[in-house]
Amino acid sequence: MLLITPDTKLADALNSNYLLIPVVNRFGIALGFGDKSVEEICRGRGINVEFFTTILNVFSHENYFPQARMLNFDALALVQYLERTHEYYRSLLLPQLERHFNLLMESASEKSKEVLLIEKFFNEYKNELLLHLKREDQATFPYIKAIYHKQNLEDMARRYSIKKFEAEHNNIDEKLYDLKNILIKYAHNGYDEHLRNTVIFDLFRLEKDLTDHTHIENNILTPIVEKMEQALFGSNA
Amino acid sequence: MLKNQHIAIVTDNGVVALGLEALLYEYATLTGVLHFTTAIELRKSTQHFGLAFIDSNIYVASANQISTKNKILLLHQAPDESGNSLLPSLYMHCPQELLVKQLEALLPIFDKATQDNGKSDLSDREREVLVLVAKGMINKEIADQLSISLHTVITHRKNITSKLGIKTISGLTIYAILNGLITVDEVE
Repeated sequence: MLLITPDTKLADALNSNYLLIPVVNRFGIALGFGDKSVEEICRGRGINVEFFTTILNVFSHENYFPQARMLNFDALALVQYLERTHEYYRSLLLPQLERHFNLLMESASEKSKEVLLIEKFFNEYKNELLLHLKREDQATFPYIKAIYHKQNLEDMARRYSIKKFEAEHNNIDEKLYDLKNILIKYAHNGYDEHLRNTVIFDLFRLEKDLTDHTHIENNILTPIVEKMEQALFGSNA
Repeated sequence: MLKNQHIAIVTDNGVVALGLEALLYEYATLTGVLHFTTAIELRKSTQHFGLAFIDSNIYVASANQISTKNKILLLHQAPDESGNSLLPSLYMHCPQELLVKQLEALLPIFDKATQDNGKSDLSDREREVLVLVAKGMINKEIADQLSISLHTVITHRKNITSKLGIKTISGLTIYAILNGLITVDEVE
């Protein structure tokens, strides 16, 4: 896959990996930009070119993770990107998955025990994911924005710290992994096979996106915020 | 990949042999790589090889010298010889990154662990452990119930997860119910 540089035409990058399309959307870029390069598109929209290309490359190349460079990223830009990613999960990817999943379950030849169990499992997963997103949206991100702008520092330091985030930041990919395998290996209640494939494709996409998202949160966001905390509150923060 | 196995490289091109050896050490955990320049030398070796890379010309010229027990990967100098080989093949006339890509795709075929994954049936003991997990027992309770050590329970659980491709307790419960190992009522 193409390693993206500021000179790369964004259209070429998306042709080389179509999974980048929603990532590009998250930066507020709509398709239809002709032959413009990454740099031209970013400049027109006030997006940091280096940040943008790095995020796209991290997403495209499994072993590409220039941590040292990424640690210099602006915490606010990073949080905004992560918030938009959450919004993408919540308002687009997850509802689409749910719609497909419901259709798949309706396609079963009978409303069997299997269907009920898988539905329950799916709902557990969905709620787990939503709760996970909500916790970050309501506690982690506001905290980071506040210390970024140096607002209510004492109050903030008392209520939250990135250590707490690290402790709480649990794996949400296990149920997703299970759901994929249940659908691939075990469910056999006369489902519509095309719908089944559609749901499995949705699950793989969500999994890929979440993996990168978590990777960025744990290995970039957390150390950046730790550095900010140290500068603000000293080493015992 | 190819963990603790010996690899044979059969070619009369020393540069190819050395280059391939270097690449293999970079991408696989091997015990040793042995070089041969003819098929007869390979046949005379008493060593067991997890995999033999054999120059396609040597293979064609002396196929009758090569034991069918060997797992063979052919080395092709030029892409146009490729056409009709039934054996897995590595095309060497290409840039390094393409060579690596080919190796990454080919080596798992020979990996023992990958092949063992095919046997996914649970053992009787694993099935017993699975049932107790699905009934909501924690590892300690399962160890007591089956009179085995906690460590053994954990090993069984790891194997169950890798065989079934299911990690969570609720996922395992679904598997157990769907396969008639327990009933819905036993869970609640």
